[in-house]
Amino acid sequence: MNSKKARRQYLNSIHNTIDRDWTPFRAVEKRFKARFPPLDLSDVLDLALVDDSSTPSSPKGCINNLAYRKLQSDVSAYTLVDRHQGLVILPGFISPALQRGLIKWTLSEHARPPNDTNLDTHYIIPEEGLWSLYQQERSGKSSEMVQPRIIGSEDEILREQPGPRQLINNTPASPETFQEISVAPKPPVAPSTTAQPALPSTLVPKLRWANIGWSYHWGSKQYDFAKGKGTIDPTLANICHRAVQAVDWSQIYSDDDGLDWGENGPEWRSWRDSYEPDAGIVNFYQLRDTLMAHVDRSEVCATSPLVSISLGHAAIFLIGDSTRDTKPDAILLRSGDVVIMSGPVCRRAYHGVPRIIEDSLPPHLVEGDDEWKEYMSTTRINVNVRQVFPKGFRFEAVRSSSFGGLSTLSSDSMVEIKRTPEPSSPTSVEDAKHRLVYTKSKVYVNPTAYARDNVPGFIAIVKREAVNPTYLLAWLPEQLVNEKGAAEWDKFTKIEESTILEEEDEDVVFIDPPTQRPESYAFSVPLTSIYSLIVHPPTLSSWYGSVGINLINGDTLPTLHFHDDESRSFTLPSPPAPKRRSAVTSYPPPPSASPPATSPHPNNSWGGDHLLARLRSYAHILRSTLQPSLFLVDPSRADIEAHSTQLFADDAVDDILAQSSFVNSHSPIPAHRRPRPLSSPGIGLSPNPYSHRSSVLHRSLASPTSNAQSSSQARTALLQSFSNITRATRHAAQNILSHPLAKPIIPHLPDPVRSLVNANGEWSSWVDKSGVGEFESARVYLARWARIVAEEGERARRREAQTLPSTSAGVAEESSSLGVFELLHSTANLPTPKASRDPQHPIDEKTWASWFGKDGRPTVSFEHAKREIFRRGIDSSATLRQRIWPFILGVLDWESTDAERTAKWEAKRQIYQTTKDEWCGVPEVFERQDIQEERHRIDVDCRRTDRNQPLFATPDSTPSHDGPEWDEKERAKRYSVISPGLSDIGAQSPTNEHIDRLAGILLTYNFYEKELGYVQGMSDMCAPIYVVMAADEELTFWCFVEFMDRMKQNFLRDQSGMKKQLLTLQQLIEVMDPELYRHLEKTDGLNLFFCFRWVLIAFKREFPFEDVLRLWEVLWTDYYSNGFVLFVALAVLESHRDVILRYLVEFDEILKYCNELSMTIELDSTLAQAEVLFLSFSQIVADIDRRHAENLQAVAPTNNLRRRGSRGGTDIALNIPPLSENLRDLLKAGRE
Amino acid sequence: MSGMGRVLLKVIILGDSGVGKTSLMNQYVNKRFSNQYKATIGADFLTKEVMVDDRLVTMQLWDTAGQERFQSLGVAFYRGADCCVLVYDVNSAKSFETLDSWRDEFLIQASPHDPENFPFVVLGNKIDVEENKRQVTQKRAMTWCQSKGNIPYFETSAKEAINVEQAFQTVAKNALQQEQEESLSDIPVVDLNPPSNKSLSDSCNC
Ligand SMILES: Nc1nc2c(ncn2[C@@H]2O[C@H](COP(=O)(O)OP(=O)(O)OP(=O)(O)O)[C@@H](O)[C@H]2O)c(=O)[nH]1
Ligand SMILES: [Mg+2]
Repeated sequence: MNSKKARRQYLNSIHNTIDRDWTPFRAVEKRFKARFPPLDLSDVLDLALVDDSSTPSSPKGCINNLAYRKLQSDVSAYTLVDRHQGLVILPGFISPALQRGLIKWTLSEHARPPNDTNLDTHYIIPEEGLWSLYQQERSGKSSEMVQPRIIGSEDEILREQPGPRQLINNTPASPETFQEISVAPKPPVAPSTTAQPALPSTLVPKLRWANIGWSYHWGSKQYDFAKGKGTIDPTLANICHRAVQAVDWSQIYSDDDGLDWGENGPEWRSWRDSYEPDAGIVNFYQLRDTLMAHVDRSEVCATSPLVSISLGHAAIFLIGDSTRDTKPDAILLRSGDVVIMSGPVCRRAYHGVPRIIEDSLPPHLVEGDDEWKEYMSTTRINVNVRQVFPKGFRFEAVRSSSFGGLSTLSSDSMVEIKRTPEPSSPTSVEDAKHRLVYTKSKVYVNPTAYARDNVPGFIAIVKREAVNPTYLLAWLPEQLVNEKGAAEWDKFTKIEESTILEEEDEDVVFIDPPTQRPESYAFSVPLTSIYSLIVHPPTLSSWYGSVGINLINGDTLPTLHFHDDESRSFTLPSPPAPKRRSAVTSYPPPPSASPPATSPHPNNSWGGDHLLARLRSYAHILRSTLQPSLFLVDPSRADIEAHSTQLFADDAVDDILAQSSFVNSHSPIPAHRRPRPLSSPGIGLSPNPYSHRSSVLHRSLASPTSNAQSSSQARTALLQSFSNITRATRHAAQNILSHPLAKPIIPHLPDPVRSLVNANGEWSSWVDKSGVGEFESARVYLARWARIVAEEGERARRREAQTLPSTSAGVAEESSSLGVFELLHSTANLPTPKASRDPQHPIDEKTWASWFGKDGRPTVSFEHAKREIFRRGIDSSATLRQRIWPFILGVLDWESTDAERTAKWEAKRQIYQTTKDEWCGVPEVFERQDIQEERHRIDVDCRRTDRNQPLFATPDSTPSHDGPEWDEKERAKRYSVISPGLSDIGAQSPTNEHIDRLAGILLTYNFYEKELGYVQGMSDMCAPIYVVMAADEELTFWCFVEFMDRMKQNFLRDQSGMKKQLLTLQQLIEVMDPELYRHLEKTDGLNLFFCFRWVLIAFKREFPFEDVLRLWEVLWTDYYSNGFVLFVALAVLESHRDVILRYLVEFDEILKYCNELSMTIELDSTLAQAEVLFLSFSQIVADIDRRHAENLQAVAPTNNLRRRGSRGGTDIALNIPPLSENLRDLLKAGRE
Repeated sequence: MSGMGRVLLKVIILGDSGVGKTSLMNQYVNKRFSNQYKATIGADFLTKEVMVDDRLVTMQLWDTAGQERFQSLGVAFYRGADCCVLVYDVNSAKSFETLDSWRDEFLIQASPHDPENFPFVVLGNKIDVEENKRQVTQKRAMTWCQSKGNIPYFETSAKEAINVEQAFQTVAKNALQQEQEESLSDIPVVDLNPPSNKSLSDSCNC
């Protein structure tokens, strides 16, 4: 803008002031907005000018006529005197490093799908996000255009010249606009019809906002299905928490300040715990952008703190009061400043940003050559986070009325941010002082099943002193503390003795920084990295309570066992109850009448309670209603929702079904088939407050009374957790939820699930597409629905896990697909088996080549090769499979040279040809009655096998001649067509050259293996091999022979092999999951027919083609077990066992449910589970054998002392079932 | 019990591999035909609600693999069946000739109360295929059906949706009849033997 124009505007504005009678707020806005006269900062409060160090004793001051007051706090925090009560400014709260991290995050991680941005309305922003495209463009790698949603017709484009510009450049210009963009329910903005494909570099500056958390587009259903609510990035949430907690709100508010806090009373007292950001917006300001005066009215929670973070260029922030008729105050916000607006006054105050100040970037945003440097040279970013709902707000009520269906979670990742040094103080981690705020002795880690190996130690909460202190949860073995000398030991004793008192009143005790010492199990992790705790109080059969710690990244720390009887804190006299507790434990209300941990030790209190109570002072601890033993630490919004909703408790679903008129009028469910009540036997008697509630999906693990065997408990723990892990495709979910039968349930679904429901009117089409009949057992629907709920939860967890790098050095950094599972297993006595699978790094050309020497003789052992293939699979891009499969299948010998192999192969080719010649071109054989029948069977099946594979897809390309008759004959000559009678052809789908070859191979197999005959299923097994072998007949044949060698038993005429397999699987279930076994027994399901297809053809029909290849090569290694396929089957069953137990009470229901799992099973997690199951199984076998051996020798009577030492382990030996031969055979690996 | 509530009818579809069992079922339930249904492995079922004489009933149609050797596993599926549909391909004499053994096998495994009167329905499928390929005449099929106690016979095409609706309507009707006869035959057991010494409430264990 040239200065003449600016001057003219200025003059106009003066003129207008008089003419139009602007509000005082508007007048000030105008003044700052104006480019002329030059910006005058004389009455702007700039807290950066306050010299902190020089005024420690005089917390008040005045800059530019604005009186401010410094709050007493670890960080620098200010408020204005007598104005805007509830406004707090934390200058420089965000460290330079964190600022840089946040900038990167907003651009590259946040402002991209699935988070909504202003650009999404008009452009199809690809998954990877605009920023990533922009970077590619900048680096010259690609100049992909971003496509508009609607391609306008030619003439439209011609008519409306500037294209997208006027649409995108829609800076909020009034409160109304702002509301429209961010808040109010509204129909989706129609995409521009004039937008044209644009380069990322032209769109990036047009980015205005990106949504955080709850989607603002509540009212609009179509929109909600596609977009919806996102998670709050944990790091961002953490910053907000830290900001709110840094303020001592009693210096702002008091009980007699006469503020109207609404129903909940003066909630500021509990903000420290109850504040939970759940929504927000990232605003991107270009230098000339402004945000006009507005009030954020949309939050249900009208008073809770709004945290606003400034990044990049400085800005002028205006804040007034509840009308625009008061002159606002102006505050300068610089990069790194945080503003908190809180309370009834400030949250209802008009505020705005009339001016971004040019050339105001701090040095740390100018130096370096970050990818955002250029962009930030004209930008201010404001990250602005609110709490929409007050804590404990009943989402259900609101959801059904106004939320339509909120949905999918975002996949924000803050990896970058996290990698920057976290504490924003200059002190390095090493220098920081570590203050011991809580500890407890005699907390054990049990590395093995043997009590003698147990390691005693201290659990501790440690505060790393800094401007923004970090709280660590640590466990130190006694030995480690001992090594540091008596003084250090005394500190722990001292703190433990005074552990009941409030931290503030205590002498400050500094200790050496707690370290990670994997070899001694020592760990120390920030509370912010903890995802959840699994808490098992002591029970009658389990002497000591335990706490398992699950990190956000999916790792699990060693389970801690609280030996309270040895611990000092329990041998001391009872202290008075601490002050703060009651307020903190109230959310959600614990199931038992008297909340646990309200006082340090009532009769049934134990060490884990104390720890939880203390942790509540530093983090939001949410006890899951889904799984009462699960406590989430600073849970995300999605988790809070998932874990505070009473999904199945109170038999909600059953009620819904019962009440629904649909069901009443013609319920397909006979009374005996309606959902079972939830109570499980024995639980009512349990003294354990944690086991009162048990939910369907995550039944409480602590139902100790009936299962006295600890190994069986271990197994239960191990297995129950599987339900969280599997995932289905969204598509499958939609099918289910779109069924009319699901209709009455929909309003009661948790949001993530409900969002999968199709828009009205689409019900039937989905049902149609999915091949679901008009009627389906309601229970099967419920079951599938329940599965999806669980899967959504697990997905959310995993997504979150990806956002943080591993923080615990103690655990190998691997992205575990087992999650909760590992944790649960580790709470048992057996060491946790880990999956070794690493499918992300398949064997590639290079690796494969490196395994062979010059003459083609392998340089690595076959065992090694098999292990690697088992773990990693084979890269599918090249023809590697074609070369590797013959080896793992055993067609080619491993220990041989190229020359040797060639010779042997030549012999095999000969055999194939000879065998084929037995029928090929020999009419008296080919036309024999039995062969004709065989040909018919083969032909009918081959025409129905893998027709979507390119090789098999196309009908024959033979140029058609005079008629079908001739054509068929012609082909018969060329390919020795297998189809016996021409009459069949018309009815079947047409064949082609490859289908004929496949049939020929199968027929030849018939002559090679005379006993079997062709059996349905064989074509399914042969076709993938044919595809991988690129239509090579001989290779396919021999690979098939070897495959069949493993599978033959399944196809025996008398079906004895299948019966044996299913029986073995049945026995495996009995050992690994007795509860499921009993359930199957009751439902007539022990024959396991629902696993028939899985086992018969090794899951060929359950996975997409490519996955089948990956599965089979794993199976063929016979690495762990020749019967590994049964562990895969078990893994699938276990993933669904809770659902099966809860919903499926008839054999046919289980069958239907299992059949429909097809194409919804995730291969890699299933394989990882199968591996862990195998390892657990072999552990259990070893354990059983050991116990048998001990049983034989054991003559010494058990006494209490011993019982204690071995944690109730002695009663185990009594009832060990003998292991069947079938089961023992499962431990055999490798072919003879 | 089943008296006033909705009825679930269990129907078993049997016949040689490739005669079109899966196709027929899908045509009936989903009104679709695809010539790429895979060979059925194991067993599966579809359900459909139908009105039979003003009554809404739910048919559960069981589809199993066509190859004989898998039939030994079928016991679990056959039990409690209310009707059995035998399917052959009119273009394949072989598939017609095996109907006998399908029927016998079913009666042995399902062991219904009254095998003589157990409802079967026979479907000659794939009649859309050119007439000159036909191997089993209508007459031959009907003769066989009559000899087996007047089994209703339909000539169908799953591909062209010929006669499918009608055939299954008959299946539903006969199955419902069977179901009601079965439950009628249950009633005397409860009602006609009132325990003399016991109170009424004791005897009621429905
Ligand atoms: N022309 C024609 N083809 C049909 C008809 N019904 C089925 N087919 C074809 O016959 C083949 C076999 O059909 P399926 O329904 O799979 O046969 P099935 O009896 O279920 O076979 P199994 O599952 O192996 O027991 C398929 O290729 C179908 O397309 C029909 O009415 N007309
Ligand atoms: Mg079939």
